[in-house]
This record gives sequence, C-alpha cells and structure tokens, in this order.
Amino acid sequence: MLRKLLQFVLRTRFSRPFLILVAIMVTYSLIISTTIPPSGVSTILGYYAAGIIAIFLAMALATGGVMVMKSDRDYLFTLPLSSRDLALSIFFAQFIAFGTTVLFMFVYLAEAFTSPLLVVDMIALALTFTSLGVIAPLIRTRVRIVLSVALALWTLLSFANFPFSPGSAFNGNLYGGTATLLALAAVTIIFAFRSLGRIELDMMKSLVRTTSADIKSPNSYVGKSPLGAIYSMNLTNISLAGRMNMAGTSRYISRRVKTRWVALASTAAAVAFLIFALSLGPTNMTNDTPNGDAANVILAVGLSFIGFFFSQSAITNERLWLSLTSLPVATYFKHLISSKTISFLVVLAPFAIVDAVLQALGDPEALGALMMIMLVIPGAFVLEICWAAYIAPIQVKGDDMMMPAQFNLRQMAVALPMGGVVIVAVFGVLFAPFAAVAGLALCLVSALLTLSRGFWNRVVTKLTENGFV
Amino acid sequence: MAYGIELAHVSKSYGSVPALSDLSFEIPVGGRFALLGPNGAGKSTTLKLLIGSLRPEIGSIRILGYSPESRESKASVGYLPEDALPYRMLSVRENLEYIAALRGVADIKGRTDYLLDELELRQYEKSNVGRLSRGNTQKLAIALAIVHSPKVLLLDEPLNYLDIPTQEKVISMLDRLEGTHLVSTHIMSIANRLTDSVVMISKGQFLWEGTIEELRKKGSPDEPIEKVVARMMTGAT
Repeated sequence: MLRKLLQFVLRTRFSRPFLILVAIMVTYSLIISTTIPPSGVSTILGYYAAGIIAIFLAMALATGGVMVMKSDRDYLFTLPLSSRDLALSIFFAQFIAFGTTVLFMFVYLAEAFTSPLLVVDMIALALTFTSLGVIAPLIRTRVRIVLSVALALWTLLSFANFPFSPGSAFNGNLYGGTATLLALAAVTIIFAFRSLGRIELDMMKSLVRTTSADIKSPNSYVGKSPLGAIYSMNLTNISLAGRMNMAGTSRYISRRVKTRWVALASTAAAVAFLIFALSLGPTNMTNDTPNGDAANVILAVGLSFIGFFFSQSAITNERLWLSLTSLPVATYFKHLISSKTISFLVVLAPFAIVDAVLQALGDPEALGALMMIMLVIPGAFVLEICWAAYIAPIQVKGDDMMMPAQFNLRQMAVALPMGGVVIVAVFGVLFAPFAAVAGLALCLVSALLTLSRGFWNRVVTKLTENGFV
Repeated sequence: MAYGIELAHVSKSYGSVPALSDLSFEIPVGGRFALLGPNGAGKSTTLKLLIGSLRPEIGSIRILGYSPESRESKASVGYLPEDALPYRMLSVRENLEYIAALRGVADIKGRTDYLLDELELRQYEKSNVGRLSRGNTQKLAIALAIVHSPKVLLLDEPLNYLDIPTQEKVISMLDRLEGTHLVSTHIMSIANRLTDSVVMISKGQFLWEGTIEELRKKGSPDEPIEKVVARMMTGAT
C-alpha cells in the first residue's frame, strides 16, 4: 500500500517534463564532473556553495511548510489510509523536491567535486532542507527568523575556515563539514518525524498558514491623496508575494514586512559583510586577490537575487479590479513601481555605504560593487518587474498551498534577465566603468518602460487575459 | 436619451477564440439591468471591457458618455468581479481606507466606518484579509466596489458565498444605491431581486433585451421563468 501511495503522491506533484528535465541535469552533472578537470577556481565555487547553502537553510526554516495540495485535503486525506504511510509519502515527495533543488544549485559545482563525500553532503543537505520545512510550521515566527539567521551565519563561518559549519565541506574542511552536515541532517530528521507523528495530516493546511489573523500595526490612509496612499503603502511595508518555485514544487506565498525591519536586517547584514571584508585584511581585500574579488562578486550576485525576489512580488499581489478602476493605468503603475523602487533602495542603502567605506579604505573592487548596488541592481529590479508582468504574470489569489510541479518556457523565461544581471555583476564588480555604463543603460530602459503608457496598457490586457482579478 | 452604459458593435477575442461578436446594447441612466447568459456567454468579458481592463478589437464602449479608460469613467464606475479578491496583505480597514484614498473619497474615515457597520465587518476590521472566510471576503469586496458611491455599478455574481441573512442585507443596501446597475449572473432569482430588466447574451452575441415582466410573459402562466430563459438561451422552441 505504501508503494502505491508513494507513487500516487509523486505523480500528483511532479510532471513528466519536470522529471525529464531533472534527468537531463543529472546526466549533465555526471558528464561534467567526470570529464572536465578542476580549473582551480574552487575558492570562488566554495564561497558560492556556502552562500547558497546559507540562503536555502534560512529559507527552508523561515518560509517552510508541508507540501499539501488542496486535492490532498479534499480527496487523499479523506481516504482510509494509515497516517504513518501518508506522512512518509509526503515527506519523501518533499525530499525529492528539495533534492532536485539542491541538484539545480550544485550542478554548476560539478568540477569542484573532488571527493565522493560531497555527494553524501548533498543528500544530507536535501534531507536537512526537507526536515526543516516540516519542523518550521511548529516554531513561532520570531524564533524561526532568529534560528534562520543563526543557521545562515553558522554556514557563512566556513568563509573564515571554521571546520564545523554546513558550508565547511565545500571550503577546505571536507571531513569536519561532512560530519556537521550529517549531524544536522540526523537531528532535523528526528525532529521532523516526531513532528509528523504528532500532527494530524488534515491540519497541515492550517499549520503552513503561520501568519497572524490580525494586522498588528495597521497603516491608516485617512487624509491621504491617491498618490500619497500608494507611496504610504509601499514605503512603510514590503510585500513579499509570489510563487516560490523549489525546483518545480511551487507554493504561493505572501508576507508583509515593515520596511524598517527589512532595512534593519540589511544593515546588520551589511555590517557583517564589512566585518568579514575587513577580516580578510589588507593583504586580501584591499589588494587585487581572488578572495577579495569573490567576496564582492558574491555580494553583488546575492543582492541581485534579492532584487529579483523582490521584483517578482511587485505585481503578484496586485488587484486590478481595485487599483485600475481607481486611477489611469499608466499613472498607477508609474507610482507603484517608483514607490517599490524607493523602498528597495532603502534596503540596498546599507550595502552601498559599506562599499563606499571599503572604497575609501582602498578595496579595488568596492567601486564596481557600489555601481552595481546603486545603478545595476535597482535598474534591473524595475526591468524584472516589467518583464515578469509582460511575459508570465502570476497572481497570488488563494491560500498558501503547494501546487504540482509545472514547467513551461514562459515561466522559465521570467528568470532570463536575472542571468544577464549575474553576468553584469561578475564583470561589473571587476570593472567599475562597465558596471556604471550597464547600470545607466538599465536605468534608462527601466525609466522608459515605467513611463510608457502603451506598455502598461498592453500589460494590463495580458494580466487580465491571464486571469488577474 | 442619456445612457449609463453603451456598447456598439463590440467584438473581442482571446487569441483565436471569439468571446464577443458584434455585441450592442444600451442601459439608460438609472437603469437596473441583469446581464444573463449561460457559462462562456461573454458576461465577465463584457464587464472587463466596461471597466477598461480589456479593449475591444472592434466597436465602441461608453460609460456615461466617456471612454472606459478615462478618468471620468473610472471615477463613476464601481466594479465587483466574480470571486473578487481584495488586497490579502492588508487588513479589512486598510483595504477600505486605501481604496477610498485611491478613489479620492473626501471623508475616508466616515465612509469606512459606515461600510464596516453596514456590512457587519466591524469585528474583522484589523483582520488580515488572507485569513477571512469567503463570505466575509465577499462582503468586503462589495464594500470596496461601492466605497466611492459610484454612479455606475457593475456586479458579477454579487451574492456568491453570502448566507441568506447577508444576502438580504446586501440586496437591501444595493436597492438603496442610486445609479445605473448592471448585474451579471446566471441565477434568475438573483436577477429578479436586484434588477427589473434583462440583457441576454449567448456565445458572445446579443440575444434579447426587455423587462423581467416581459420575459415572464414569454412563457406559459405556470412556467418557471428559468425554463423560459433556458429555452431562449439554447434556442429551443
């Protein structure tokens, strides 16, 4: 029965094209890892690995949940099945989803795979992500956020050669790092299975909905003009909404965070980066060394990803039937995007200040990173909003529910500008004039699109035809 | 005659699929009309064209004599889509105040308080909309559609998800609202309660227009009006 149930659960979550894509990626990974000799860039790849692990550990815990679809609650959970079998099946499906995510993220590291132990590390990572997702709904939001940050910082300690961090295996401490990952996986699996045993499966829907029923400190729009209301809403709050796609396992999420809290968090992260950069010392950070380059490139790429994530939230939580029946289309979008860009710049500002400080201290790449933060990333942010709205708009409508894995070219095309931004980030950090020119060009295109009435009219037609309410 | 809503020879398609084909009808200022039609008739598309979120390929549309994209039209129209979703990251009160501000309502607080009380949403005013029941979400959506006291009200299945006492409250409230009303529905009893006239469309084309009384007379005395409507929509004799 368990085997049949497992088959059913997997088939309702992963489409055939998705599985084919995974198979191609695995094959590619194997060929690359066995045919291409190491190129000596393993330091940068190690930083990349630790950065990705930090982000995913933090996200798995902060936004985690159990992969339950509406059809599960309506049909599967009403069947006379053993709750143990159901829990196991759902855990396994979630493991596959996270496992493929790990695969996607690490396939590019194939050439740095100098030991088979790193494959064990990847499996341990996937198990940890899965287990954290199961545990997450049972932990209070504030505790979860603190733990997420702690996990990320612990992982980043591998940059400083700490041997027992989840990122250490990829940064020169193979055995210590592997032991850490296996221990972390073991502990989280135990907690996850204890959690799955304690909770009723039909309660999972309410468990993944961890936001409070009441808005704690609501905004008031009394006395505001139409434009004043738009700026007030978007400058005081950052709305994170979108379809989070973990290698095909999609989940609609929406969260609202006070801008001042996000700015505080980014300030803390910027200060941490400054301390880290200074810890590299004058022989590394202020001279042209691979470590100094890598730190700035990782910062620029990391902020580009955050910009992309924020940009995807800009339209997904929009309500055309309310906003566009209130104001002319172009006017509304112009001010919506302007307010969201200002809000994003507030989040970026601490990193810009840190890079200005590093530039003053003689870090040769800080100027390029500064150009990235001030011009390229904000310009790309606006462009990514426009691109996503035009190519594959998605509206968050319902509950925080998991959706079956779906892959289509349009959805994948949404990430195309991100690839360009990453390339610009790598070269832009190393050559500041390139970053400046690319940034100005991006800002110009973004401004033209934002001000174009014809463009937004076409976008609204597309949004409406795509089912936006 | 002054028209609240005018459609003249409107055609609209989604890709190669025609949604509306040469559709024309007018609703006089102050008229209360139901837009009737079977599933896929083009009712929701018609409403989306009337609010300007879609544009016709052929034909023209006027709201109180203005283009649907104009500021004048936007200021006049209130719209409730089917399965309406307010901003789910905002509270009930924030939604009302935000949209009232966008609409340029003078007394935002007074209007918000009135609607919270009228639709019995006061106890949920701080609630995150994403956590409301479907019925309360619909009540909020109705409040948002009328927050600026619109002169033209477009409603798509307005009584969906509402319990019977709330339906009666909403019907009474809509009845008191002045202006031109167009209610899209496929439930005849709702059309009967909210309107006095009917525009019937099928497969994106105009089918019939008249009062509900005239519609009733098209059947035999003891024939339910739904049967008459079904016969007309399917073209049966």
